Amino acid sequence: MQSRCVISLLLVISGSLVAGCSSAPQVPAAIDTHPSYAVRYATNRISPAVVQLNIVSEEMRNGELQTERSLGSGVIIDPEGHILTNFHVAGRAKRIDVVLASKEHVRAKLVGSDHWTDLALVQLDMNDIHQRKLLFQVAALGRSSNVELGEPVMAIGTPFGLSRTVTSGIISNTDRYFDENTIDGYETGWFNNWIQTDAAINPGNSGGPLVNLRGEVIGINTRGIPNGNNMGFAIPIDTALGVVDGLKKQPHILRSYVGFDLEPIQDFEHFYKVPDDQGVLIANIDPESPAEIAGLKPEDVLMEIDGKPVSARFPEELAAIRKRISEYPVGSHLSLTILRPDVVHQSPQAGEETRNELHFMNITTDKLESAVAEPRLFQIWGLTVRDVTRPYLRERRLAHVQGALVLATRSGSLAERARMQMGDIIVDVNGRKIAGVDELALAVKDWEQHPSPVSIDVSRDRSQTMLVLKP
Amino acid sequence: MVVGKHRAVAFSVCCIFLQFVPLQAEVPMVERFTSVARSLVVVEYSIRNELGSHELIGQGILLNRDGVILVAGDLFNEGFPTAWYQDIKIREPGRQSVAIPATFLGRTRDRLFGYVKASEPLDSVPFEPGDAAVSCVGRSVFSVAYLDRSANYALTVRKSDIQTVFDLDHTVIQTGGLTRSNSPVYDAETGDFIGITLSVTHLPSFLRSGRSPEPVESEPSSCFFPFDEVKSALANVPSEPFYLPRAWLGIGEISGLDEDVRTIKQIRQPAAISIGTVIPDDVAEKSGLKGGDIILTVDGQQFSTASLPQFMVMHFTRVINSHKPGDNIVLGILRDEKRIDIPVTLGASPKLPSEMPHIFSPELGLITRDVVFADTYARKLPRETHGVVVAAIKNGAIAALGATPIKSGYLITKVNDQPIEDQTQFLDITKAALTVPGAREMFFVAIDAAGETKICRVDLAK
Repeated sequence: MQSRCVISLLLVISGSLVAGCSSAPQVPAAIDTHPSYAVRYATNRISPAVVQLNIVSEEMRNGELQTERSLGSGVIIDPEGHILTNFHVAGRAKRIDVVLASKEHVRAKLVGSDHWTDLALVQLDMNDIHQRKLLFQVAALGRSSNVELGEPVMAIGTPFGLSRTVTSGIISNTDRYFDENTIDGYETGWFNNWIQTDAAINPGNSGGPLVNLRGEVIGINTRGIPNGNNMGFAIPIDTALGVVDGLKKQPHILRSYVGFDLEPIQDFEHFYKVPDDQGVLIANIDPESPAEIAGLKPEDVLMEIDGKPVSARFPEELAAIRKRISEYPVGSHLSLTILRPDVVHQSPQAGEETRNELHFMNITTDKLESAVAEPRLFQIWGLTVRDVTRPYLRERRLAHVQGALVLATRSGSLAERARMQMGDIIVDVNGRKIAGVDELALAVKDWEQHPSPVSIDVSRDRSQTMLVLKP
Repeated sequence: MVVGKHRAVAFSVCCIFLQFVPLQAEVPMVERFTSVARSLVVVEYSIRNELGSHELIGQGILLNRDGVILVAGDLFNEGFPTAWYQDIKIREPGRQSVAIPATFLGRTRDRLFGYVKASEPLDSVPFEPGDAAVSCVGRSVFSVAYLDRSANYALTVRKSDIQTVFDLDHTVIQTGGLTRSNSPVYDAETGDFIGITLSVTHLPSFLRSGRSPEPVESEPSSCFFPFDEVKSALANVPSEPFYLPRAWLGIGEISGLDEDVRTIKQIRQPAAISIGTVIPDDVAEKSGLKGGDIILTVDGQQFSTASLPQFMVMHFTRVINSHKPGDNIVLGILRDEKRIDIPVTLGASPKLPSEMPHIFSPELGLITRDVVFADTYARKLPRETHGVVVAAIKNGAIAALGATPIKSGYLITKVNDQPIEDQTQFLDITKAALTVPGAREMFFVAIDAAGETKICRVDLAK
């Protein structure tokens, strides 16, 4: 028994050490599933495909550009050297150094990222790989749809900088739900649920694979809970591969936006007279969104999208609906079937039943935009700005205003002395309208030629204020 | 008691015969001390609602034989509904075991003072200000007050010097340290009345020196309002309950223009205010004012000579607050480099949250009130938005339990599918819904502080 297993392991490993890259090895016909061997088999199968990512990024903090260094993990998913990791690891990287399982260093570049699912696609410098005849292996990819509760799993990555660490545990939950969240202001957690595991996942594990006993990647390790013990969360591989397909074509995923917040129908089904197992409740409607324009209202129950039923009784079912809507091409004309109370109670004593009627609303989807835009630093004035986005204005219920949003001013800078504050939107510089960061760049460039006191109009919440910037 | 010019003679006579002589300045202090003490009373009451109560004690100055007593504006804070001020009692030091019931009459228009009226005759003597002294830096002053019940209402006096005269939205005189809020203050040399001490909340932040802005009535004050600020409150003593709205311009935000901005806009005046935003459909907008307009004069006069923008705003506010609703003023403004005069008829300040009746629904455990301007403005909703606002929630209220709880500050617009017009309708609808036999749940649609719609389910099952 023992010798057979050892031989199988050797065959697997030797079969895959080819110069350059290699594809995922086949699963041998008989895997000894005795726990200790299975775990060893699986980790030996996946480990050569797991990498450490050393990241150098530039972040604008306090009105200055600061170089930051961080690390995470990733997994090589194809012979072209594509590495799957988290957005919060590599999504804002200026420089990526990969440490292969063989401990060799290679440069890599960011191909694309998607903060909505916290994923990023990186690619090894293949010229360097071939020139130096470096070896790497490609991971076997599994399916997250048939993950089982209690299934043994392993996590491989670089916790606290300790590369090539393997930890093991089980699947603690296959469908963990979290409310939508943000990372550094970037929206995330909208379109997927999570696989929860008690395999130790620590800072540095992010972006690394969660694998089953067959050594197949079933998730990308992404989150933990501060002060929690053995509470790790991975993005299901099915979600990740869908995003990877898109990122191979374009650096960001294009999605549709409609502008309503959904709530599960549980506890509300009798009140809103919703037939069993159907419908999802619409709560908040974003101002000036496609949903508002289409005439949707809070308390509408969404029953069908384009004739196909939709339902969410529990919060775990919401992400899939959001994903479904987001996957329509931008500008799609959709027909939504809505259940809405038709008759309102005339008096409390009347006992009149509200008759619910189905309404058919036409909606045209818009492009899903992030509230966060790319920041830019203006060294000479000492401030960082970014474009004002429509989601940003919607969140604050501000009227439409174009300009450059001030993120921070550097201590002691001209902008600080002019009393500019975080949250100010620069709308006018010396009589010149500022529609966004590009116009501001031109205005600052002109100013640099002839520095002199200049008046700056800023929009602050609802009001406008005048500032003066002096050289 | 020796007064006037005989004082000097008596003093020198005393000097010959006595080793330890009272200083000249102490004679008026001793005189004033004993006389004014007879006009000071203690005002006690509870802020009470269905969720709890809190006791407060402050100093009152008896103003007339009808029992009208002057109190600090903060003692009856405008943030709470008047109905919550209960069991108002007057105690006179000397017979402190006797509690005389009193009622709250109202606040001065500038909100610096309030009045209560004792329902029975008091032994205390109405306050006589006498000659008014002028405050100037360097003069010695003293104030007189009663300590709390914990000190058995002992009388106390504190003497200090005028350090600074601040010209803000009121004139505020800063000293080293005096007695509690609402104490009469006197010139230490002449014994003339010079002002009344104020509580911490009336101080701008740079004078607060890190203390919390909540009024702590027994804390010693280091500032007082001079005679000019208090004379109106002492002269116009009411006899019946009253309410005075403040003059209202309908402007959302204003800011002072600092020197750099004035230079670049070529504004010669030392002080100017720019309008940040006008409130839609309100006084300023209807008068023709716009966001971005720069206000230079009020009724042809400069309203400030300050150079710091914050002070300009205080001085402008002061000028507007010196008017009443309905007064006509002319604002001299600058718009697109042109000088324009805009006549404005001042409105009345909108109703405050505390002015609306607060009603407790025991089954739900909520205290609600009608929607006021401040609610819709803060949430950026149309002014005509109807509903009720949740003012407070009882600990353990069923409305706050469950997966979708109602929270304090929620503006409820619908109950069980019925839109809510006002508090009365809200109470009718909720009462009716609760009495339906077998009612197990209620549904509310509300708008939270950020303006987002929330759908809440309340489980009524016990």
